[in-house]
Amino acid sequence: MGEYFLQQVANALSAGSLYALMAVGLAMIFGILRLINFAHGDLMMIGAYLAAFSLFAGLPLPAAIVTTLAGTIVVGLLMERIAYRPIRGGPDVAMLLTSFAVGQILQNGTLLVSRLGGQPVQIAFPAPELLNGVVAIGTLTVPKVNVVSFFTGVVLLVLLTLFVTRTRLGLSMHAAAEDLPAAQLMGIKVNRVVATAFAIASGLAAVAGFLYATQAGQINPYLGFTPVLKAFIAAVIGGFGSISGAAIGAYALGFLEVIPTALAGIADILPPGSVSPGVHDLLAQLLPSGLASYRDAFVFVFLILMLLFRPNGILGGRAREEAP
Amino acid sequence: MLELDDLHVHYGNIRALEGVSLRVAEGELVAIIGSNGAGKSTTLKTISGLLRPSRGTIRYQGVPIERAATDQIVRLGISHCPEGRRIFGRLTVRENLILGGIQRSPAEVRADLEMVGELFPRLRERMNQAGGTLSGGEQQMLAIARALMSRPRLLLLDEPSLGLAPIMVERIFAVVEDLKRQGLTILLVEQNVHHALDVADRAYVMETGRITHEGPAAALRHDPQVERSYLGH
Amino acid sequence: MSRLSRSAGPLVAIVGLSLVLAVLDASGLAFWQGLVINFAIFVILVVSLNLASGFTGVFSLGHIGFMALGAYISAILTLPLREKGDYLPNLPSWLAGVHLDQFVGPLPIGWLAATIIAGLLVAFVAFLVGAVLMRLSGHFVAVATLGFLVIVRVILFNADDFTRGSRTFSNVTPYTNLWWAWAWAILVVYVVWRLKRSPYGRDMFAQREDRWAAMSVGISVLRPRLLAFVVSAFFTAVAGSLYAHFITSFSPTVFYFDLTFRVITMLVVGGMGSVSGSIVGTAAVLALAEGLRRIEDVTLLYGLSGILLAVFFILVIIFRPDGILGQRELSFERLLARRRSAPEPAAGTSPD
Repeated sequence: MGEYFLQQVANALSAGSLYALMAVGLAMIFGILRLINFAHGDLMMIGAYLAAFSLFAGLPLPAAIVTTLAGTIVVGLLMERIAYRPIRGGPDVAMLLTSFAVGQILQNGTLLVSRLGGQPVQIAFPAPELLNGVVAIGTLTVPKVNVVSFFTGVVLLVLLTLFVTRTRLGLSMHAAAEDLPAAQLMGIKVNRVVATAFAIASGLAAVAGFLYATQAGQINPYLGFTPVLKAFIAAVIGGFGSISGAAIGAYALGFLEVIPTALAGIADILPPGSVSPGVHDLLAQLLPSGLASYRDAFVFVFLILMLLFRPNGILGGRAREEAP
Repeated sequence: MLELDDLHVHYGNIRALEGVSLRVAEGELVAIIGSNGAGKSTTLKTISGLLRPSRGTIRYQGVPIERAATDQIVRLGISHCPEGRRIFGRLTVRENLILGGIQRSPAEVRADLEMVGELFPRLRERMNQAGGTLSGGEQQMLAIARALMSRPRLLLLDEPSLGLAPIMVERIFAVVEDLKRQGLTILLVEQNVHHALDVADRAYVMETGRITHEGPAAALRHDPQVERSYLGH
Repeated sequence: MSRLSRSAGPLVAIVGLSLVLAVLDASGLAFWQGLVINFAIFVILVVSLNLASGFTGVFSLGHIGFMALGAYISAILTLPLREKGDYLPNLPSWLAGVHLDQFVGPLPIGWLAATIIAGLLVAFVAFLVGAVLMRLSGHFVAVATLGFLVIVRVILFNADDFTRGSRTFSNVTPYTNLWWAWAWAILVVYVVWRLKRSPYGRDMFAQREDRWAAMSVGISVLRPRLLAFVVSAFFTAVAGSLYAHFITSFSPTVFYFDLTFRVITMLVVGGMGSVSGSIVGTAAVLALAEGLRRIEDVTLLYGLSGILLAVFFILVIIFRPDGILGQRELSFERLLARRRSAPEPAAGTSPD
């Protein structure tokens, strides 16, 4: 039974890393612009598709990675320049709605290009050999890609933290996130800071897209929708606006998600005789295996509770007043 | 050094500034006084580029800057210490100061950190403290110090005495006088008319977006209308 | 203008509408009938969302969840007994016996009852959800309501016994016709219009502009928001019932994000806060969508309509964020006055 839980922990860590890559980007952009970029999930999708097409084209892995990163970053920068910059400083809801529209453009655009290229809606992802197969860790067998996801996430987060705390550009981003007009008065070029944030966020999303596609084995133009919602939840759990918070929230979410699955599995995996038959039956009834499919609903209910009682994140205190 | 000519600024349909014209000569300390909502802060924000005028010009050393971006204006040598201090509470004192000098080279900034430490010993003691933990007066010192980090030729100072205890207000104005003595040109916006007229060479009085009086500070101090409206006599 | 002439305008419009519907009904042009029914359903959706979000400034992104609930509840209720046995074999006994498919003369009373029941149940759900969520603001309420949409979808997918899960729910009797669709649409427009001009409406707009100012003069923030939310949920559920009994077969995927975005586009284009704007906006976007769909069919560039509609939306938000009418309303007096070349009243009119 210990193995079962370790398995769940491994799953949680791997998922947590992916969520972290997304949540951190989302939190950076929200911190500076007060924009919840719903098209962020679609940046991840673009990353997955660029990866797919470069691998199909026979590019070696390093070149495919570079193409994926570069392409996604370009899309992210264009998004900022064309759709968000003109309405900066306007009402928050306008930017949020615009991000939906941008998402629609990316999704339909990908659909269109796919169709024109003669591909079906759902494409099988050509995972590189390096990431296929499993790894044995003690008594567990974990898919290689999960291990790579976890470590990639951690490394990138560390690099990002160093960048934000040690460099001047990073410091400027902090300042811009805390008080944009004051940062402007320092002579900080706001446009450059915002563009940098988008570039970094897009790059992280691209990596997340690549890893997700490898894990899932399939990609479609709509794959970004649920991840961005989950990234948002992760950012809220961590206290929106700080990078470390978003990362913590992401791993917390990874663990939170395995709870229904873990609980649901308990009744099945209890060794016979370990608990009385009455208790066993009770558990089986209380935690139907079908509960696992309610996982998404469970996570959203948690989100709503967080927004109500702890809008500043798990560690946060009093609610910071948002402009209504 | 600085010339505002017939400046008009709108917030949507609201007219914040109407036909504002003023001058600041090099080395002068000019004050703008007036009650709340008169448009004083708006004037400073328009000079530093946070707002754009709908009409009129702003010339700095002969160069028109009313359409310039804030980062260019800072590079030209104008620094704006905003109303309400607006320091970065989650960053340390040192980080706040570094940000003030972000346009300059790291070596210059390091040298200036020393200089600022001399000028504001209390800040030097608290270099690694988060800005949000400082007292009101210390935050105001930090805001001014931060504005100085860009080695400005012209300092725009917005309501430095706001919300401070009288003894802190004295100290702040001592600093302001010090800076003036060192040759810094200052445009000061203040609601505290006594202190403002004490340190200033000249002053303008603003009311609902227009300039209503102007003249040497000494003369305004004894002007009966100013006395009645602002000095409570 | 005298009260008589003020009500003359809308009455003329209703009579005109009835004539158009009668002609359309008799013409047998199924395509146009379908389009006009669709128009009515979207008008209900958009006007309801306007009430919930446009008036109060509180953005509900999950409203289509109410539509989904309305659709499924009413469809389950109206399914004839025989179909129920075959189609939904695992319904609990108290539900399996219910079949609201009765007629009184030409009127499908059963369906009417089912629609109203669905509306009331959904309104109750909205009351519970709203009591919790309407305290939030800005983007937080937007995302929380989006979470509601996801939760509803998950529930619909999982409650197999009631909803057939991910499988298509079909065999729904096509009760919806031109008359029923537009009768409901006119009712919704009337109710929301009256609400806008009532003290409740004023409270809604007041706290939209400035929450703190409103609170400081004693206007509650929660109550007008909750009222708007619940009433709008009722009508959105009605739209769901109309929709279910129009397309006769659907699954949870219909009531998700694309539909949400389309309704929001219509709302923004028409103007958040203007009831007549919603009607105009809906017509404009439907026309645009239809036109684009034709182009897609001809050029085989599927996905193009989605892209162009989204681009259109972004252009509106950037260049005309108030939409066509902002918070103002179309008024017949002004239209008539213009035709008589009387001098225009001053620009910047207050909401009617």
